[in-house]
Amino acid sequence: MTRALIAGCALMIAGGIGCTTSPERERVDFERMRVQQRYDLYGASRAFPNGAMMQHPPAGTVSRETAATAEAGAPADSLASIPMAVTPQLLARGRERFGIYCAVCHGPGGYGGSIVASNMGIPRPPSLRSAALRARPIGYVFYVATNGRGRMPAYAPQLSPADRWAVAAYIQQMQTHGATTDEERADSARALEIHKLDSTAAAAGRP
Amino acid sequence: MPALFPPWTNVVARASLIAAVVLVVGVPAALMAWVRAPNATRRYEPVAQPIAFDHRVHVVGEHIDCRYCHFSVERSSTAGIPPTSTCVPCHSQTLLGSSTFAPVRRSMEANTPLQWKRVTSLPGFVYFNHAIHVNKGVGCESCHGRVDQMATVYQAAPLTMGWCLSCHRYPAAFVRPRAEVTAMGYAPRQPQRVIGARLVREYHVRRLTNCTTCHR
Repeated sequence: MTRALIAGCALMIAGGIGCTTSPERERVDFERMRVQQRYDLYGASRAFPNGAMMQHPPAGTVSRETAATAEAGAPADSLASIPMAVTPQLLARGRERFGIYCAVCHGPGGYGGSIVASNMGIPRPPSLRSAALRARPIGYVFYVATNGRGRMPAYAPQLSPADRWAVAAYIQQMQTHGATTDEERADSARALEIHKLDSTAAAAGRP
Repeated sequence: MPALFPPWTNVVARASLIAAVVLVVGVPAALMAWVRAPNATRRYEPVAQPIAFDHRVHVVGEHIDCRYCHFSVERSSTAGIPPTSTCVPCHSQTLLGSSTFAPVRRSMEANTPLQWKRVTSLPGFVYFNHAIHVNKGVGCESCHGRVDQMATVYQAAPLTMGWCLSCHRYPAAFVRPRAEVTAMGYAPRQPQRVIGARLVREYHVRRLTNCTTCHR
Protein backbone atom coordinates (compact mmCIF):
# COMPACT_ATOMS: atom_id res chain seq x y z
CA MET A 1 0.00 0.00 0.00
CA THR A 2 2.66 2.50 1.10
CA ARG A 3 4.90 1.43 -1.74
CA ALA A 4 2.09 2.00 -4.26
CA LEU A 5 1.51 5.48 -2.80
CA ILE A 6 5.20 6.41 -3.06
CA ALA A 7 5.38 5.11 -6.60
CA GLY A 8 2.27 7.09 -7.50
CA CYS A 9 3.68 10.31 -6.03
CA ALA A 10 6.98 9.82 -7.83
CA LEU A 11 5.14 9.33 -11.12
CA MET A 12 3.09 12.49 -10.58
CA ILE A 13 6.17 14.57 -9.76
CA ALA A 14 8.05 13.15 -12.75
CA GLY A 15 5.05 13.88 -14.97
CA GLY A 16 4.82 17.43 -13.62
CA ILE A 17 8.50 18.12 -14.29
CA GLY A 18 8.26 16.52 -17.71
CA CYS A 19 5.35 18.77 -18.62
CA THR A 20 6.89 22.01 -17.42
CA THR A 21 10.22 21.50 -19.16
CA SER A 22 8.91 20.47 -22.57
CA PRO A 23 9.24 23.31 -25.12
CA GLU A 24 5.48 23.57 -25.66
CA ARG A 25 4.89 24.46 -22.05
CA GLU A 26 7.63 26.99 -21.47
CA ARG A 27 5.20 29.22 -19.67
CA VAL A 28 3.20 27.44 -16.97
CA ASP A 29 -0.40 28.48 -17.46
CA PHE A 30 -2.33 27.44 -14.39
CA GLU A 31 -5.57 28.79 -15.80
CA ARG A 32 -5.04 26.99 -19.10
CA MET A 33 -7.30 29.21 -21.18
CA ARG A 34 -5.59 32.49 -20.42
CA VAL A 35 -2.90 31.92 -23.02
CA GLN A 36 -4.41 30.18 -26.03
CA GLN A 37 -2.66 28.57 -28.96
CA ARG A 38 -3.64 31.04 -31.63
CA TYR A 39 -2.17 33.99 -33.44
CA ASP A 40 -3.54 37.39 -32.52
CA LEU A 41 -3.10 40.49 -34.68
CA TYR A 42 0.29 42.14 -34.19
CA GLY A 43 1.59 38.99 -32.53
CA ALA A 44 4.98 37.40 -33.10
CA SER A 45 5.47 34.34 -35.26
CA ARG A 46 8.43 32.10 -35.87
CA ALA A 47 7.01 31.08 -39.22
CA PHE A 48 8.17 34.20 -41.08
CA PRO A 49 11.66 35.65 -41.38
CA ASN A 50 10.69 39.08 -40.04
CA GLY A 51 9.17 37.51 -36.94
CA ALA A 52 5.73 39.06 -37.38
CA MET A 53 2.38 37.31 -37.61
CA MET A 54 0.94 39.93 -39.97
CA GLN A 55 2.53 39.89 -43.41
CA HIS A 56 2.32 42.24 -46.37
CA PRO A 57 0.19 41.08 -49.28
CA PRO A 58 2.24 39.88 -52.28
CA ALA A 59 3.51 42.61 -54.59
CA GLY A 60 0.96 43.79 -57.10
CA THR A 61 -2.06 42.87 -54.99
CA VAL A 62 -5.06 45.09 -55.69
CA SER A 63 -7.75 45.27 -53.04
CA ARG A 64 -11.35 44.91 -54.14
CA GLU A 65 -12.05 48.30 -52.62
CA THR A 66 -9.38 49.91 -54.79
CA ALA A 67 -10.48 48.02 -57.87
CA ALA A 68 -14.07 49.21 -57.35
CA THR A 69 -13.11 52.89 -57.51
CA ALA A 70 -11.75 55.00 -60.34
CA GLU A 71 -8.30 54.65 -58.81
CA ALA A 72 -7.51 51.43 -60.61
CA GLY A 73 -8.69 52.64 -64.01
CA ALA A 74 -8.06 56.19 -65.20
CA PRO A 75 -5.23 57.97 -63.38
CA ALA A 76 -6.93 59.82 -60.54
CA ASP A 77 -4.54 62.75 -60.54
CA SER A 78 -6.05 64.25 -63.66
CA LEU A 79 -9.68 63.90 -62.57
CA ALA A 80 -11.24 67.37 -62.54
CA SER A 81 -14.25 66.40 -60.44
CA ILE A 82 -14.94 64.12 -57.50
CA PRO A 83 -16.24 60.78 -58.81
CA MET A 84 -19.01 60.57 -56.21
CA ALA A 85 -21.90 62.71 -55.05
CA VAL A 86 -20.64 65.53 -52.84
CA THR A 87 -23.23 65.37 -50.07
CA PRO A 88 -23.19 67.07 -46.64
CA GLN A 89 -22.41 63.61 -45.22
CA LEU A 90 -19.36 63.25 -47.47
CA LEU A 91 -18.13 66.72 -46.48
CA ALA A 92 -18.67 65.98 -42.78
CA ARG A 93 -16.72 62.76 -43.15
CA GLY A 94 -14.01 64.64 -45.04
CA ARG A 95 -13.84 67.29 -42.34
CA GLU A 96 -13.49 64.66 -39.62
CA ARG A 97 -10.79 62.68 -41.49
CA PHE A 98 -9.01 65.92 -42.40
CA GLY A 99 -8.90 66.77 -38.69
CA ILE A 100 -7.27 63.45 -37.86
CA TYR A 101 -4.79 62.89 -40.69
CA CYS A 102 -4.19 66.20 -42.47
CA ALA A 103 -4.57 68.95 -39.86
CA VAL A 104 -1.63 67.50 -37.94
CA CYS A 105 0.72 69.08 -40.52
CA HIS A 106 -1.39 71.30 -42.77
CA GLY A 107 -3.22 72.90 -39.84
CA PRO A 108 -6.91 72.68 -38.89
CA GLY A 109 -7.72 75.35 -41.46
CA GLY A 110 -5.34 74.07 -44.12
CA TYR A 111 -3.10 77.17 -43.83
CA GLY A 112 -0.05 75.13 -42.88
CA GLY A 113 0.20 76.74 -39.45
CA SER A 114 0.20 73.58 -37.34
CA ILE A 115 2.49 73.04 -34.39
CA VAL A 116 4.17 70.18 -36.24
CA ALA A 117 4.85 72.52 -39.17
CA SER A 118 6.40 75.14 -36.89
CA ASN A 119 8.65 72.48 -35.34
CA MET A 120 9.71 71.14 -38.73
CA GLY A 121 12.46 72.55 -40.88
CA ILE A 122 12.20 73.69 -44.49
CA PRO A 123 10.43 72.55 -46.63
CA ARG A 124 7.43 72.82 -44.36
CA PRO A 125 3.97 71.40 -45.05
CA PRO A 126 2.44 73.80 -47.60
CA SER A 127 -0.83 75.68 -47.32
CA LEU A 128 -3.74 73.90 -48.98
CA ARG A 129 -5.25 77.26 -49.93
CA SER A 130 -2.48 78.34 -52.29
CA ALA A 131 -3.29 79.47 -55.82
CA ALA A 132 -0.94 76.78 -57.13
CA LEU A 133 -2.96 73.99 -55.53
CA ARG A 134 -6.28 75.53 -56.56
CA ALA A 135 -5.07 75.58 -60.14
CA ARG A 136 -4.59 71.81 -60.06
CA PRO A 137 -7.42 69.35 -60.74
CA ILE A 138 -9.00 67.95 -57.57
CA GLY A 139 -7.74 64.50 -58.49
CA TYR A 140 -4.27 65.76 -57.61
CA VAL A 141 -5.29 66.04 -53.93
CA PHE A 142 -6.53 62.45 -54.07
CA TYR A 143 -3.33 61.37 -55.79
CA VAL A 144 -1.08 62.99 -53.17
CA ALA A 145 -3.17 61.58 -50.31
CA THR A 146 -2.79 58.14 -51.91
CA ASN A 147 0.90 58.21 -52.78
CA GLY A 148 2.39 60.96 -50.66
CA ARG A 149 4.64 63.69 -51.98
CA GLY A 150 8.05 64.90 -50.82
CA ARG A 151 8.21 64.22 -47.13
CA MET A 152 4.48 63.56 -46.83
CA PRO A 153 3.84 59.82 -46.51
CA ALA A 154 1.14 57.95 -48.40
CA TYR A 155 -2.14 57.86 -46.52
CA ALA A 156 -3.65 54.97 -48.43
CA PRO A 157 -3.34 52.61 -45.42
CA GLN A 158 -5.19 55.04 -43.14
CA LEU A 159 -7.76 56.42 -45.58
CA SER A 160 -9.94 54.30 -47.83
CA PRO A 161 -10.40 55.59 -51.41
CA ALA A 162 -13.85 56.93 -50.44
CA ASP A 163 -12.34 58.71 -47.44
CA ARG A 164 -9.62 60.24 -49.62
CA TRP A 165 -12.26 61.65 -51.95
CA ALA A 166 -14.19 62.90 -48.91
CA VAL A 167 -11.06 64.73 -47.75
CA ALA A 168 -10.50 66.10 -51.26
CA ALA A 169 -14.11 67.34 -51.32
CA TYR A 170 -13.66 68.99 -47.93
CA ILE A 171 -10.43 70.69 -49.04
CA GLN A 172 -12.15 71.94 -52.18
CA GLN A 173 -14.97 73.37 -50.09
CA MET A 174 -12.52 74.89 -47.60
CA GLN A 175 -10.70 76.72 -50.39
CA THR A 176 -13.86 78.69 -51.22
CA HIS A 177 -13.95 80.57 -47.91
CA GLY A 178 -11.59 81.90 -45.24
CA ALA A 179 -11.09 80.78 -41.67
CA THR A 180 -14.37 80.32 -39.84
CA THR A 181 -13.48 78.88 -36.43
CA ASP A 182 -11.04 80.10 -33.78
CA GLU A 183 -8.89 77.06 -34.47
CA GLU A 184 -8.69 77.94 -38.17
CA ARG A 185 -7.92 81.61 -37.44
CA ALA A 186 -5.10 80.53 -35.10
CA ASP A 187 -3.82 78.27 -37.87
CA SER A 188 -3.87 81.17 -40.34
CA ALA A 189 -2.05 83.47 -37.90
CA ARG A 190 0.61 80.89 -37.07
CA ALA A 191 1.16 80.13 -40.76
CA LEU A 192 1.83 83.84 -41.38
CA GLU A 193 4.24 83.92 -38.47
CA ILE A 194 6.13 80.84 -39.70
CA HIS A 195 6.32 82.34 -43.18
CA LYS A 196 7.68 85.62 -41.78
CA LEU A 197 10.32 83.83 -39.68
CA ASP A 198 11.35 81.70 -42.66
CA SER A 199 11.72 84.74 -44.95
CA THR A 200 13.81 86.60 -42.35
CA ALA A 201 16.01 83.55 -41.94
CA ALA A 202 16.35 83.19 -45.70
CA ALA A 203 17.24 86.88 -46.04
CA ALA A 204 19.91 86.50 -43.36
CA GLY A 205 21.27 83.47 -45.18
CA ARG A 206 20.43 81.04 -42.40
CA PRO A 207 18.97 77.66 -43.29
CA MET B 1 -11.96 7.65 35.04
CA PRO B 2 -10.66 11.12 34.00
CA ALA B 3 -12.78 13.40 31.82
CA LEU B 4 -12.64 12.45 28.16
CA PHE B 5 -12.10 16.13 27.16
CA PRO B 6 -9.81 18.09 29.51
CA PRO B 7 -10.65 21.83 30.00
CA TRP B 8 -8.15 23.07 27.36
CA THR B 9 -10.14 21.36 24.64
CA ASN B 10 -12.75 24.11 25.10
CA VAL B 11 -10.19 26.57 23.71
CA VAL B 12 -9.41 24.22 20.85
CA ALA B 13 -13.08 23.85 20.03
CA ARG B 14 -13.63 27.64 19.96
CA ALA B 15 -10.42 28.26 18.04
CA SER B 16 -11.29 25.64 15.47
CA LEU B 17 -14.72 27.19 15.01
CA ILE B 18 -13.06 30.55 14.32
CA ALA B 19 -10.50 28.85 12.10
CA ALA B 20 -13.27 27.17 10.14
CA VAL B 21 -14.99 30.52 9.54
CA VAL B 22 -11.69 32.09 8.50
CA LEU B 23 -10.93 29.20 6.18
CA VAL B 24 -14.36 29.03 4.58
CA VAL B 25 -15.11 32.75 4.37
CA GLY B 26 -11.91 34.68 5.03
CA VAL B 27 -9.50 32.90 2.69
CA PRO B 28 -11.79 33.01 -0.39
CA ALA B 29 -12.68 36.63 0.41
CA ALA B 30 -9.00 37.54 0.72
CA LEU B 31 -8.18 35.77 -2.55
CA MET B 32 -11.06 37.49 -4.32
CA ALA B 33 -9.88 40.84 -3.01
CA TRP B 34 -6.32 40.02 -4.11
CA VAL B 35 -7.14 39.24 -7.75
CA ARG B 36 -8.83 42.64 -7.99
CA ALA B 37 -5.98 44.53 -6.36
CA PRO B 38 -3.75 46.69 -8.58
CA ASN B 39 -0.78 44.47 -7.76
CA ALA B 40 -2.49 41.41 -9.21
CA THR B 41 -4.14 43.16 -12.19
CA ARG B 42 -0.84 44.94 -12.97
CA ARG B 43 -2.64 48.24 -12.93
CA TYR B 44 -0.49 51.40 -12.85
CA GLU B 45 2.64 49.45 -13.77
CA PRO B 46 4.53 51.44 -16.43
CA VAL B 47 5.60 49.19 -19.30
CA ALA B 48 9.03 50.04 -20.72
CA GLN B 49 9.03 50.09 -24.54
CA PRO B 50 11.88 49.58 -27.03
CA ILE B 51 11.83 53.36 -27.56
CA ALA B 52 11.16 55.98 -24.92
CA PHE B 53 8.06 57.08 -26.78
CA ASP B 54 6.30 59.89 -24.93
CA HIS B 55 2.58 60.23 -25.64
CA ARG B 56 2.53 63.61 -23.88
CA VAL B 57 4.77 65.20 -26.50
CA HIS B 58 2.69 63.91 -29.38
CA VAL B 59 -0.82 64.38 -27.98
CA VAL B 60 -0.51 67.58 -25.96
CA GLY B 61 2.55 69.11 -27.61
CA GLU B 62 1.81 68.36 -31.26
CA HIS B 63 -2.01 68.05 -31.19
CA ILE B 64 -1.96 64.65 -32.89
CA ASP B 65 -5.21 62.69 -32.73
CA CYS B 66 -5.01 59.13 -31.31
CA ARG B 67 -6.23 57.80 -34.66
CA TYR B 68 -3.33 59.31 -36.57
CA CYS B 69 -1.17 56.42 -35.32
CA HIS B 70 -3.78 53.96 -34.02
CA PHE B 71 -5.49 54.14 -37.37
CA SER B 72 -7.49 50.93 -37.42
CA VAL B 73 -9.36 51.55 -34.18
CA GLU B 74 -12.61 52.40 -35.98
CA ARG B 75 -12.69 49.39 -38.28
CA SER B 76 -10.73 46.58 -36.66
CA SER B 77 -10.69 44.64 -33.44
CA THR B 78 -7.29 46.11 -32.65
CA ALA B 79 -6.52 49.81 -32.37
CA GLY B 80 -3.48 49.33 -34.61
CA ILE B 81 0.17 49.69 -33.74
CA PRO B 82 1.71 52.23 -36.10
CA PRO B 83 4.24 50.78 -38.55
CA THR B 84 7.74 52.22 -38.53
CA SER B 85 6.80 54.18 -41.65
CA THR B 86 4.46 56.30 -39.49
CA CYS B 87 7.33 57.54 -37.34
CA VAL B 88 9.91 58.14 -40.02
CA PRO B 89 8.45 60.91 -42.26
CA CYS B 90 8.21 63.39 -39.36
CA HIS B 91 11.36 62.19 -37.66
CA SER B 92 13.46 62.32 -40.80
CA GLN B 93 14.39 65.79 -39.51
CA THR B 94 14.13 65.60 -35.77
CA LEU B 95 15.61 62.88 -33.57
CA LEU B 96 16.41 60.44 -36.38
CA GLY B 97 20.13 60.58 -35.62
CA SER B 98 19.72 60.29 -31.87
CA SER B 99 20.47 57.15 -29.88
CA THR B 100 16.88 57.08 -28.58
CA PHE B 101 15.77 56.58 -32.14
CA ALA B 102 18.24 53.77 -32.90
CA PRO B 103 15.61 50.97 -32.69
CA VAL B 104 13.48 52.82 -35.28
CA ARG B 105 16.46 53.15 -37.62
CA ARG B 106 17.26 49.47 -37.23
CA SER B 107 13.64 48.56 -37.86
CA MET B 108 13.59 50.72 -40.97
CA GLU B 109 16.85 49.36 -42.37
CA ALA B 110 16.15 45.69 -41.67
CA ASN B 111 12.45 45.94 -42.56
CA THR B 112 11.50 44.21 -39.31
CA PRO B 113 8.74 45.57 -37.09
CA LEU B 114 9.45 47.30 -33.80
CA GLN B 115 8.55 44.99 -30.95
CA TRP B 116 6.32 47.14 -28.77
CA LYS B 117 5.34 45.66 -25.43
CA ARG B 118 1.66 45.12 -24.81
CA VAL B 119 0.32 47.31 -22.01
CA THR B 120 -3.36 46.45 -21.88
CA SER B 121 -3.64 42.70 -22.08
CA LEU B 122 -6.78 40.60 -21.94
CA PRO B 123 -6.85 36.83 -21.40
CA GLY B 124 -7.14 34.66 -24.52
CA PHE B 125 -10.76 33.79 -23.74
CA VAL B 126 -11.92 37.42 -23.97
CA TYR B 127 -12.75 38.65 -27.46
CA PHE B 128 -12.53 42.41 -27.38
CA ASN B 129 -13.26 44.58 -30.38
CA HIS B 130 -12.11 48.20 -30.45
CA ALA B 131 -14.21 49.22 -33.44
CA ILE B 132 -17.61 48.53 -31.90
CA HIS B 133 -16.71 50.35 -28.68
CA VAL B 134 -15.34 53.44 -30.41
CA ASN B 135 -18.22 53.59 -32.88
CA LYS B 136 -20.77 53.36 -30.05
CA GLY B 137 -19.21 56.29 -28.24
CA VAL B 138 -16.82 54.75 -25.72
CA GLY B 139 -13.89 57.12 -25.37
CA CYS B 140 -10.26 55.97 -25.48
CA GLU B 141 -9.84 57.60 -22.13
CA SER B 142 -12.64 55.54 -20.54
CA CYS B 143 -10.47 52.40 -20.61
CA HIS B 144 -6.92 53.63 -21.27
CA GLY B 145 -6.96 56.62 -18.92
CA ARG B 146 -5.21 59.91 -19.51
CA VAL B 147 -2.61 58.62 -21.96
CA ASP B 148 -1.89 62.27 -22.78
CA GLN B 149 -0.39 62.59 -19.29
CA MET B 150 1.62 59.37 -19.26
CA ALA B 151 5.36 59.48 -19.80
CA THR B 152 5.39 55.69 -19.99
CA VAL B 153 2.02 54.14 -20.66
CA TYR B 154 0.51 51.94 -18.00
CA GLN B 155 -2.70 49.98 -17.70
CA ALA B 156 -5.19 52.43 -16.23
CA ALA B 157 -8.21 50.19 -15.68
CA PRO B 158 -8.43 47.02 -13.54
CA LEU B 159 -9.67 45.01 -16.60
CA THR B 160 -11.62 42.67 -14.35
CA MET B 161 -14.90 41.25 -15.61
CA GLY B 162 -16.78 43.29 -13.02
CA TRP B 163 -15.20 46.42 -14.43
CA CYS B 164 -16.25 45.51 -17.99
CA LEU B 165 -19.78 44.76 -16.78
CA SER B 166 -20.10 48.06 -14.96
CA CYS B 167 -20.32 49.68 -18.38
CA HIS B 168 -22.03 46.81 -20.21
CA ARG B 169 -24.88 47.02 -17.66
CA TYR B 170 -25.25 50.81 -17.68
CA PRO B 171 -23.66 52.13 -20.88
CA ALA B 172 -25.58 55.40 -20.56
CA ALA B 173 -23.32 56.39 -17.70
CA PHE B 174 -20.22 56.24 -19.89
CA VAL B 175 -20.98 56.92 -23.58
CA ARG B 176 -19.96 60.20 -25.17
CA PRO B 177 -20.54 61.77 -28.61
CA ARG B 178 -18.56 60.05 -31.38
CA ALA B 179 -16.85 63.31 -32.21
CA GLU B 180 -15.34 63.35 -28.70
CA VAL B 181 -14.17 59.75 -28.63
CA THR B 182 -10.47 60.60 -28.71
CA ALA B 183 -10.79 63.70 -26.50
CA MET B 184 -8.70 63.55 -23.35
CA GLY B 185 -10.15 65.08 -20.20
CA TYR B 186 -13.63 65.03 -21.73
CA ALA B 187 -16.36 66.68 -19.69
CA PRO B 188 -19.97 66.32 -20.90
CA ARG B 189 -21.58 69.66 -21.79
CA GLN B 190 -24.91 68.52 -20.36
CA PRO B 191 -25.41 66.20 -17.36
CA GLN B 192 -24.26 62.68 -18.30
CA ARG B 193 -27.68 61.15 -17.55
CA VAL B 194 -29.26 63.44 -20.19
CA ILE B 195 -26.55 63.08 -22.80
CA GLY B 196 -26.04 59.37 -22.04
CA ALA B 197 -29.71 58.49 -22.47
CA ARG B 198 -29.84 60.42 -25.75
CA LEU B 199 -26.68 58.82 -27.17
CA VAL B 200 -27.78 55.32 -26.17
CA ARG B 201 -30.95 55.85 -28.23
CA GLU B 202 -29.14 57.54 -31.11
CA TYR B 203 -26.32 54.99 -31.43
CA HIS B 204 -28.55 51.99 -30.61
CA VAL B 205 -26.36 51.02 -27.69
CA ARG B 206 -27.55 47.80 -26.10
CA ARG B 207 -26.92 46.39 -22.66
CA LEU B 208 -24.91 43.33 -23.61
CA THR B 209 -24.42 41.13 -20.58
CA ASN B 210 -24.59 37.69 -22.19
CA CYS B 211 -21.53 35.51 -21.58
CA THR B 212 -21.16 35.02 -25.33
CA THR B 213 -20.81 38.76 -25.91
CA CYS B 214 -17.18 38.49 -24.89
CA HIS B 215 -16.50 34.79 -24.34
CA ARG B 216 -16.67 32.63 -27.46
